[in-house]
Amino acid sequence: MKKIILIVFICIILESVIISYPVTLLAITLLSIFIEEDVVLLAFIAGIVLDLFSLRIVGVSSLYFLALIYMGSRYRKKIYGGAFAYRFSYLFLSYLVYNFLFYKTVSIYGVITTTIFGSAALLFLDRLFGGKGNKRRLSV
Amino acid sequence: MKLEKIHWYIASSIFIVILDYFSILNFAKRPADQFIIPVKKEIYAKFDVLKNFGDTLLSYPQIAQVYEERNDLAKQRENLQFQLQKIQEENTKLRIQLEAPFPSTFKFVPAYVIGISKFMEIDEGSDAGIKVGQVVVDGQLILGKIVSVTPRRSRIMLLSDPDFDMAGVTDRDTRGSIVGQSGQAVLLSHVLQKDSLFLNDIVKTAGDEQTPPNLLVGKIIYISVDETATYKQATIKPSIDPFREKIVFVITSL
Repeated sequence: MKKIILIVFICIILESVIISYPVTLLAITLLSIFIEEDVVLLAFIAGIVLDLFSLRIVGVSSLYFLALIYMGSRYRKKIYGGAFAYRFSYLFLSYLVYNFLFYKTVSIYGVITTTIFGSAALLFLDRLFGGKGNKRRLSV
Repeated sequence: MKLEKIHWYIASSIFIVILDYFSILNFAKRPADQFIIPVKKEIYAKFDVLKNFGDTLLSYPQIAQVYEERNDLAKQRENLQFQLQKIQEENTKLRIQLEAPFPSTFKFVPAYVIGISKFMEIDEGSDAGIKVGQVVVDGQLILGKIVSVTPRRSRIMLLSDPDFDMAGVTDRDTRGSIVGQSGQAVLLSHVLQKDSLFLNDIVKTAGDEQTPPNLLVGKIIYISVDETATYKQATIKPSIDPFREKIVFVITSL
């Protein structure tokens, strides 16, 4: 868990200091699928810290991350168990909305790049964890 | 993950957003900034170097080419600077030489000093009209005379050479022979006892077929008198240090 926290913190630093790509979001979406521990708290804190670092209204990133985790959990089977297009669309839309909300821009090139990278990472992690992402589902 | 739990966090987030929207959280932001600002500053400074790393990597061939060109240019610049320095030195020397009060019939061949030990060696020879016996000067100061010549090089016997011998005269019209001594000393020898010789007298060349008169040799710094001897002699401090010379002039025509 310490390593995961470190990775998320590095992503926050990168996003708030040098790059304008949603790397924290990327990390949170990937972690929400593949870690056993409660990612909700991590997403909540990461959002707060990212907002503090990025001089945003505190809580908006947390809200977005949590909303994404919630959506991802609700439609996990479709997103991770269905066709690749669902997965790609989910990531594409989440990055597009994030870019629009927080960077006030719709950089299709940037969104596509992040989506491709996210999808590739998802595929890689899916192989690594033996399809763990498909099995886990948020209990209601 | 329990859905109730995520609802709690979402609710908390909304609550925090509302609080911050109305600037209620500012009291907590101030202490947070004390940590955030130095961290961001430090990281920004570190990453500033790496920011263009991707571009640098992609344009490596161009950078390598530019680097090579820069090195070539630096070499060319060094070469040009060296040439400029040489030209400036030559120019200065020529100006001095032109201002020297020599008759207009004198012809000078400028030459670079390429070595100095017992003899001084210059980079001009018979191709430039230099002949054995001709006098080498710098301005009005005599350095020595040519002792051997090849088509493109010449050797100069310096005033301090033990074999050097030339007619000299002081500014009081006392005549003698300018001869060298091993080392740096130059003597005015064969001066008649009756002739006046004083310290700080200026010694010049007396002139002969190949040596023009009134070339400055130096000044007398020591007089050796032996009443029983036929002649007296004086030690001359040369006005020129041949080891510092870079360009000299050979008088090829009187």
